[in-house]
Amino acid sequence: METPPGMGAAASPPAASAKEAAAAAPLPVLDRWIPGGLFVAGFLILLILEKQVGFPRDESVYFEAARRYGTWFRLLFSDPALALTDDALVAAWRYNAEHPPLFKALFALSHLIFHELLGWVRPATAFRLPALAASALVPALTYRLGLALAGRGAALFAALSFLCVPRQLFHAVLACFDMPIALMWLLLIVVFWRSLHSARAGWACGVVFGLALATKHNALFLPFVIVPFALSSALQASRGVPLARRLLLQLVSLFALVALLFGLTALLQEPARFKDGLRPISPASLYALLLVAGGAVLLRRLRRASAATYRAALPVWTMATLGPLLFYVLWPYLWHQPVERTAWFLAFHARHEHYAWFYLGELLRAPPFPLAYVVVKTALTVPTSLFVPMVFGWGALAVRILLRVLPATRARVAPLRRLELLVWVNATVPLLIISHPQVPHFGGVKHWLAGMPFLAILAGVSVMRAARALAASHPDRRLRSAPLAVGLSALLLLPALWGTLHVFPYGTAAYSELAGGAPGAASLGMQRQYWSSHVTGVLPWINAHAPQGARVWLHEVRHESFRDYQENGMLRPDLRPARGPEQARIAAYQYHQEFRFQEMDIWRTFRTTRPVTGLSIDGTPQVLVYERE
Amino acid sequence: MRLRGLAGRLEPWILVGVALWALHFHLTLPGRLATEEDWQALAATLSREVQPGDVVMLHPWWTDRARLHLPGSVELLGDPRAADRDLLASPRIWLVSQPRLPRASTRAFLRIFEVDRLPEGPPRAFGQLELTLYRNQRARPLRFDAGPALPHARVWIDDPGTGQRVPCRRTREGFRCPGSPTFSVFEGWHELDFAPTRCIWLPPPGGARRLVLEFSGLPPEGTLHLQGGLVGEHAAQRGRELTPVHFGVERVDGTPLLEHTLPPGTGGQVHLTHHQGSGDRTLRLWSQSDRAERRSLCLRLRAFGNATGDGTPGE
Repeated sequence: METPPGMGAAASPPAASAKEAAAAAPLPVLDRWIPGGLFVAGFLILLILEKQVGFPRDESVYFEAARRYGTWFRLLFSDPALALTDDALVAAWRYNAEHPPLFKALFALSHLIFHELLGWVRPATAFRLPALAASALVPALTYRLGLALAGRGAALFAALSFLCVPRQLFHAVLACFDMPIALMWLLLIVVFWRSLHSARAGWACGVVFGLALATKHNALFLPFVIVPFALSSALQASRGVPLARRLLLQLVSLFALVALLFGLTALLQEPARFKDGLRPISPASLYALLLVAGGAVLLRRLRRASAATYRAALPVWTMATLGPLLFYVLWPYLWHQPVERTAWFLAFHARHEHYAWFYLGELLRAPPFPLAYVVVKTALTVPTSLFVPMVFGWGALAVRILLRVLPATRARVAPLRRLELLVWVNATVPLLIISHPQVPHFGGVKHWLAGMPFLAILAGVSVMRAARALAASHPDRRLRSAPLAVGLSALLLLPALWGTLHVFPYGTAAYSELAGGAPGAASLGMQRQYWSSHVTGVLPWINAHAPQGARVWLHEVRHESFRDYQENGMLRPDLRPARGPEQARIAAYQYHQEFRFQEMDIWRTFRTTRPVTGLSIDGTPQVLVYERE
Repeated sequence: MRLRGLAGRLEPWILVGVALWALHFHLTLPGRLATEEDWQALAATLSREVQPGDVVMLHPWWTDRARLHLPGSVELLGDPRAADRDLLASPRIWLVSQPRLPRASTRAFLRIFEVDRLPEGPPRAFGQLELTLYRNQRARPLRFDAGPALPHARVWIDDPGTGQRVPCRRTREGFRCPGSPTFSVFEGWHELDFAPTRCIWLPPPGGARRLVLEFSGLPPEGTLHLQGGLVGEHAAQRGRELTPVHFGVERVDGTPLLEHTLPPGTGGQVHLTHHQGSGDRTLRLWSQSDRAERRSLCLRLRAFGNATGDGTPGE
């Protein structure tokens, strides 16, 4: 097995020191430049493309939140005492409190600096800049992790392929949180992997976890993919060092004890009383203090007993302490009432409503949802030339894991490297979470985007393996696998890029070759679009044809988005939003299976069944525009 | 291990094959789509040849971009279950098909659609569009349609508690009934089970009260067809605050001819038939639900002659 450059492949204890040495070795210059190049190129491409993408329903809410945060930032500079009162905090930060603030705050600062102060870009672009930067970091980090796992070829394929997935490119330009949380997830895994060799990275794990918590609630699942790896690494590292093993078990016991104490307190009380009991001076604070102080003492002793065990266990403690702390510090809305408001935030997501969603000819409205949904939706939306290597890469590793688990076959399979397992688990878990039949299933693929960089890496592994196999099977032994890898990668990326550019900027209508593109997906009965941003396809017609001051009903478009289209020069400023067809002179209906009755409302009100124009993608109606007769 | 060797040998060739297939898909897709010119040419032909009562069936069902081009006077059928519908009032059906679209499954569609329907000649091609006229052997002479007859109906609310009959006021659109300002009865397009359907909006008044529509001039014999359901997403909603909707057709003396109950969460369209030979020329259509909220009932009542009858052709 070739040894990839970079962070090296930590494995069994005998080889650990050699691997650690490899990890500590500096990267070749090229591999230090490529991620930077990927970031810069990705950022510039996204910056050029973002103007074409409309403002989805949620994005305009986040724009509005960022505006309010921006007002608060101004107040903080002009009157800090007033800005820190609960009234001022609530006025600015309660809006859209169902999502944590980190990226909305970045959108706000970016808007203040790049639009209001410098005037370099339009408002929407200014809001989006932090999201563009976050999205551009994903291929760069994917490269970094891919390099550590499987070498430069696989890493480069993974990084390049990431933005050749139409829906990923679409989400990459939005001032939303799906791509930022994908970045945070990936970043934490990269930092965690480094933490096995560097204590500083172990501290960074806590910081990144805090940032992830402040980005989106998906971060709550991150401990489940980190802690088992951290503990197994720590157990392995403490083998043969009894003191380290004892201290490690004490640390684990401390965590278990604190969890038990919290659990019992919660179980023995009414939820409301439990919540009320979480005060600065309370048993709960004592438990938390026990975890922080006790953990710190044990880790200090562990560092002296075994540096490797200490490094492996450190991320668990830093995530448990710095994570919640940063979540609190970064969210001003929590400053005066942390418990009540965090509980509301968590309850909102625990009881999230289910939106109707068209899937294989059936309108899904309520759980239980089909178990295969996530896999099917991924297969039908990721370009097939990328999806198939993903399946091969994931499947090959799954088979190896299975064979290693079975006693009869264990000896016949090479041991798995921990990084392989880490990538495989993170390629699987985000998809598994949404596969649960009770979890909301709307929103296309954005809810499991966090798994896609890892699947891209596994696809890269498959492609490089295939290139090597091709080279080995060729009669001319002089044929090297590198050119074949380049050729095969290009061949696989080309149709993906083609399809991505073809459907852009209408990303939520993107379907793969396996689906038969947009027309095939329509025949299969798949959700044709969502989030309303495709309305940009008919705005030029409305601008050209609507009478002066006409009321326009942009179906599914929020009034904030209507205002944003006007503010960003995409919709005539004299036009006025209508609440429904009754008030409207022009109506733009967005095709949704569950909203079909609203098109009939237009027919009745406008006394016509014939639209005047529309947006179709490969013949599939997306938006139909009606004009009152 | 042999399997692993085989998989290893196959993997590169599968990847190459998939990439080439995907490229082929993108290269050939534009040639499989109908152009504006195709639609315009087809629309010109259809405008010339369409007759009153004809309908246009779209295949695949979602190709209702056709509305941009086809004459507004002709009814377009574009919903997932359209192929299966009887279309009793339509002796002629124009099939506008795009068989080369990905996953069009034209054969499967025709297996359902062509039952009791005969093409009147081969398909005519307009680029990627195909136009075929079918004779609908399921069609029956339409003798009565409550929709167009609504302006001549009598509409009131029956209150069994007081025994009173409260009349609804005639308006330009239909009728306005006492109670809520939006409590009205009218005929128009509504969505039933994702299909655009012209039907009578018949919201139950709430409580034990019934909304009643009395129609005269029905044929003395034939088959009564009552079709309908709850509109839009209200049909699928469940909840304790929602109550079943009862509706039916009865004689003027209250004898029920057709009756049905829709429990909350019941989507789809209901089709009820009654063969009548009793000579009733006046019938009542009614609706009732204990709670009126979100019980948006829409019904279509028609009477058809038998297949060999010489009645007027369909609508």
